Amino acid sequence: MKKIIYVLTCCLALCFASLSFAAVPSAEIRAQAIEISKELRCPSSMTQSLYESEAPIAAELKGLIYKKLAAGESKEQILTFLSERYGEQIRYEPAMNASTAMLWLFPAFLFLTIFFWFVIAVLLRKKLK
Amino acid sequence: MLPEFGHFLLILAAVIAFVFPWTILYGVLRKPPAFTGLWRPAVLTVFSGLTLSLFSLAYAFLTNDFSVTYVSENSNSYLETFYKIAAVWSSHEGSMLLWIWLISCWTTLFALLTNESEEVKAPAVASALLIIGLLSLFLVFTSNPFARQLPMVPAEGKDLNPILQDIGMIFHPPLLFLGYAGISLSFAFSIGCLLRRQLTPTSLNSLTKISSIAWGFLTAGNVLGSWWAYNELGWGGWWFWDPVENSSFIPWLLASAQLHALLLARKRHKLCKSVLFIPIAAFTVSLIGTFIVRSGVIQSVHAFASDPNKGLFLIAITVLMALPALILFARNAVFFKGDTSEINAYDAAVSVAVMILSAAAAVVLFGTVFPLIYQGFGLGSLSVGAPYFNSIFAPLTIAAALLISGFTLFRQRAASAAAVIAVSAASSVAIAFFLHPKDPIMTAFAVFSCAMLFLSLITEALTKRAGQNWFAFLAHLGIAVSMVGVIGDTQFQQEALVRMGPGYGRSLGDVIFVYDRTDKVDSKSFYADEGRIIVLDKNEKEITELRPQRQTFKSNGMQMTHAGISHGLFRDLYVSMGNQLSAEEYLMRLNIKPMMIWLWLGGLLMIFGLFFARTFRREKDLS
Repeated sequence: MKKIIYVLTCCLALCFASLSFAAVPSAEIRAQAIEISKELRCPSSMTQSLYESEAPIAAELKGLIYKKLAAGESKEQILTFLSERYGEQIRYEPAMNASTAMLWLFPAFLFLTIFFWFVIAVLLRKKLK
Repeated sequence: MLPEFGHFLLILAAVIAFVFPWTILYGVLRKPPAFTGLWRPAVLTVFSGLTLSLFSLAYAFLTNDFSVTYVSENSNSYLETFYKIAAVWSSHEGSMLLWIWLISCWTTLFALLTNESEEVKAPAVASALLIIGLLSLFLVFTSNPFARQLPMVPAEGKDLNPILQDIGMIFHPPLLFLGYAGISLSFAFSIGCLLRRQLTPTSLNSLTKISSIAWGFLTAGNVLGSWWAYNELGWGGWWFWDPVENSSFIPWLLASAQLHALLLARKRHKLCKSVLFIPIAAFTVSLIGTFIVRSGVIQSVHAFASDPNKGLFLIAITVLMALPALILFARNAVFFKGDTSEINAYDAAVSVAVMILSAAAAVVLFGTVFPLIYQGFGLGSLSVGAPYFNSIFAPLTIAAALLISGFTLFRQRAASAAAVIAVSAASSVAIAFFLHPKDPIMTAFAVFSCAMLFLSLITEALTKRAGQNWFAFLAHLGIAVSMVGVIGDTQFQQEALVRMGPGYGRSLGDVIFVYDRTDKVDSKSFYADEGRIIVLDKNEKEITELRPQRQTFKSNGMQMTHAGISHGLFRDLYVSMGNQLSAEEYLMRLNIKPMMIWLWLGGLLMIFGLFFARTFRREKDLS
């Protein structure tokens, strides 16, 4: 008998726990979910982000993002999960790795060059005088 | 009959524009020059040919001549008259014809109205004609707007793309094309100078005129495009970093770089090679942009007129025009020796501006074509979009604003500089740490740079003697004003996505949105469900009423949203209707966007600055 009550209580507790998850997510999670949905491309209407898209799949994925956030997953985990499922193309900002490093190295190179030109051409030349 | 007439004139213009320039260019390079006067009949024939050709296409639209494929694809007899005219440039064939015609307009105006010498005009006009010739041949061979579908003439046409059935969309493409056409002319002008190995002060002034007008139209086109996106697309965004937007943003960045470079070239006789090179780059980039729009190689919201075969032709044309231009530049650039004396602070400041704007253009271009490169190397497919570009452009804009204000304050007394810095820092701390933005650190930097820019410009305007460059003042002030809008939207906007139907209310920030009822609207081209949303303040007093629409187009069943917006100087209240969820309920997006309108006010200020500078306070032409 005790065991049964124990199991029942556990079940009830679990139910309540899941109910509280299913309830309206906190404002913070909501904001975070919106932010993530803006960084993902909708798999069905490719010219829109998940946030903009009205396709059924977009609604489903937005729900998934809420759930995963509520379950304590991080933004990076969710992005990785979705890009594994739908392809790298779903991310509007590619994950940084050896093959995509140029995307960041190129601007860095350009702006550093400008910076050094400025330092050498203007500031140093004055000093040398 | 009239479409054949237009077709014939298009071919005539194409052939003349393609054949005559060779004779003119040969004549220019001969010693002594010969046949240079030939540009006059050539440009006039090409211009009138293209004008009549465009008019006959417009006439086909106005008279519902559905035997012309292009007309039946993009118009029908129920369309309002002004939409029928707008339909002329609503798709690939017509918009290319418009672009080519606008290049011929600019060329004719330049040839007839400027007081350049014949030797300068001849090679420039010849190069412009060559551009017109190549593009018209492309049009004639791959995308003839006058092609008929005989004998199967449809009784009714399809429809103008519903996205384009809006006043903003009627003017957005022609404005951008006016800008592109201006860039094409500045390219031709630069080729002319390179061929003659000469860049006189008069030529510099002409180049400045052409470049600044092109810049003005590009600015206007982009501002209008983003205004339209904000009002029509129903998710409150105003810039997507979509490949096609990028391809109008890159020429704008380069045109801005060119304006800065021209300043140094005219006043200090420096950067002479740059002012000849930037037009070549800008024109090449605008061709690459056309390729991106038309070929559909990169997924884009604007890809409603794409065809991979046309892409190949466009690549060929791009190479055909850019390669000779680059070779010419490489060979002849040595003849343009600027003043090589020591640079002063002013030179350094303007040079840095030129470099940053050009580098920004290169970065946007690289990010836009990166998915293509990636795919080309067989690494798979990926997307480069808004989060990437924002992460680069946010710090870049802040840095640029700080640099402008730094260089402006450099010429001020130390006391006023210190005051400006102190006030900016104080307002930055106040806004970033007491008003609860989404990202306090970013906001602190952004507000600081924006306040610095604003205050330093004002300080300069108040203390400056004669010689204030009012265009620069207003354009830079425009940047500060636009930054206010961006900070307000990205850091302080409040949004909610809710299920709503009649009787529902939702509070957001300090207001309450109440869904009152749904009305049915029946217009000429669409049916719509129109929500009536009442916005109440804290004391439940009505502030305003918003009417977002969910439109279904009669011709093809396409669904569009039309946001309900109450614009205000300090905040926009924005509601858009999403999917219908049940018989009475819709998925509604509610937004409060502080300072949103400042984004476009900044753009207007830039355009106004140009207008003001060109008409009222024409700067003395320096030699």
